[in-house]
Amino acid sequence: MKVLRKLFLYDYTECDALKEYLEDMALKGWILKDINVFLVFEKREPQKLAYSVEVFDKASIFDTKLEKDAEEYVEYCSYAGWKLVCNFEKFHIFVATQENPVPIQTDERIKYQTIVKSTLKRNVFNWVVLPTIMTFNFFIGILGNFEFFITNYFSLLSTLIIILCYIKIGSDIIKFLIWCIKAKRNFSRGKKLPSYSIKDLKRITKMKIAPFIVSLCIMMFFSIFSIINKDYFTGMHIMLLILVISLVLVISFWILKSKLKRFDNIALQILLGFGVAGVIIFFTVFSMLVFSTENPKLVVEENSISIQGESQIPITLEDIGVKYKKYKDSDIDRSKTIFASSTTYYDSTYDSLDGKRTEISYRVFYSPYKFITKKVLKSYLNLCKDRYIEDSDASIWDANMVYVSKENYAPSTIVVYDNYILSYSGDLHLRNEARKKIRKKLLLPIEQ
Amino acid sequence: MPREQFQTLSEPMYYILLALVEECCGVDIMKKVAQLSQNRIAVGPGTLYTLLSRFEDNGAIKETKTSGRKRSYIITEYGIELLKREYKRLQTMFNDGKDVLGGL
Repeated sequence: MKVLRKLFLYDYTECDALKEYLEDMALKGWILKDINVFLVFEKREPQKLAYSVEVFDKASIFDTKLEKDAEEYVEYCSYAGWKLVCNFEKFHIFVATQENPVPIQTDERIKYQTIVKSTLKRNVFNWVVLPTIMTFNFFIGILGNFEFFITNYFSLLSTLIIILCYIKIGSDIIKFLIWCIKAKRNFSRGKKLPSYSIKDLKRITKMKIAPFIVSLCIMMFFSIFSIINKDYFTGMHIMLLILVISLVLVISFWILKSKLKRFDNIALQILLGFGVAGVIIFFTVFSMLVFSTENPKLVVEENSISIQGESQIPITLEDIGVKYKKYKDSDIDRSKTIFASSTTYYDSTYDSLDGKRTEISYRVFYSPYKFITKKVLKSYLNLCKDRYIEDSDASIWDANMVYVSKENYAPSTIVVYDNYILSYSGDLHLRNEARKKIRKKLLLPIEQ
Repeated sequence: MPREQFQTLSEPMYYILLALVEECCGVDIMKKVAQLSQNRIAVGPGTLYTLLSRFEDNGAIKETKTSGRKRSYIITEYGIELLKREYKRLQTMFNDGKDVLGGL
């Protein structure tokens, strides 16, 4: 038998439009058999059927089969001449078994109240919890560290996706509010609830899928772009995200298709949530270990195991006159976008016997846009408010400004140019020659 | 304490409460409403289901027994009071109308 599947992405406000659509499909010979993630139609003789698409508020959004709460409701309907075809979440779809049966809802106000209540319950996560988490994440996680934000494609991508989500949520809320206003106006004029046409419905469905497709395309683009630019950490991370999302969709589809009981659905969804979080955390830690250290080397000591890098860095401890001890650990952390780049160099040496570690770390931030450099400088200075003072060394560095920290236990210096910022801390007590060397080795290559 | 929600009763509400003066289940209510109103009023099954839960929440009716998935209800004293109040309101309306239009 020929089967046709259409994605089921309807809101409770679209019940009447869905009814029209189902009747239209029946006239073409496509008879509704089931709903899971799709409306499933089977090819039969074209026939004139009367459908009724109802929202049963006592059902749960986790229902995929008829639960006890709804049995009595379905029996009332069957007495009135309506046979249940299928149900999904709070949606219950009936077909008339006799001519001109009494409509399931004879009170438009009750119908309106049910739709509003169910819509709010169904969207409490999407409209309240999700935007709150996103806003929090955006301000704390992304804007909180502007340098990370502007030099990292992963955070730029997250911002784009968050903006897309806001647009989607905003338009959903506006669509619902417009429907509510129209419904109230219709009541005052003694008319029925507002309904969308089949044409509107098809357009709305396309609009609902669009953000997902656009997000996926953006993610693919960023992933490939990152890999081409040899930023494997970001590239793999985004790839992983795409993989996890696809996997979640497949598993969710399987869960919904299996028509399990409400409790099993809830338990599996929670399990899926934890599973996803676990996979993401595992791979984040794993990829950080693998991709963030250049030439990683596993070092086994008497009572500890560590990963050490052997990166070639421009200024080493030896350059500033420190002799290497037994162990050596040097690392470069690069992040770069078309807007800015930031590279952190780290060199340290220690001996497990005396336990003393000597280290230097320095970072070069660069952006072709002066306003971005200015904003990053501001974030550096804000990080340790009142700690930095302006230093008179600016002329030695040939820089616009030099800031040094007041505190002796963590001496750090920020050297500011138009388009780049050099910052260093640790045991890097620099003599004038060393400064010239740094300028020559670190900054001039960027300028050119 | 029942919540004061039903200031006035709509026609279907009035007939549902009338039907529940005797104990009956949902399907019987639909039959009785049609019978009492001489097929003038038809209460949709969805509307009936919602109204029954609202009446129950407000203490106008109470559940008497459950056999299988069938629940039976009967009106409470508060429900009778609501009915009487509505009956008097309708009677006042009828008399007022009669005073004005009676001679026509």
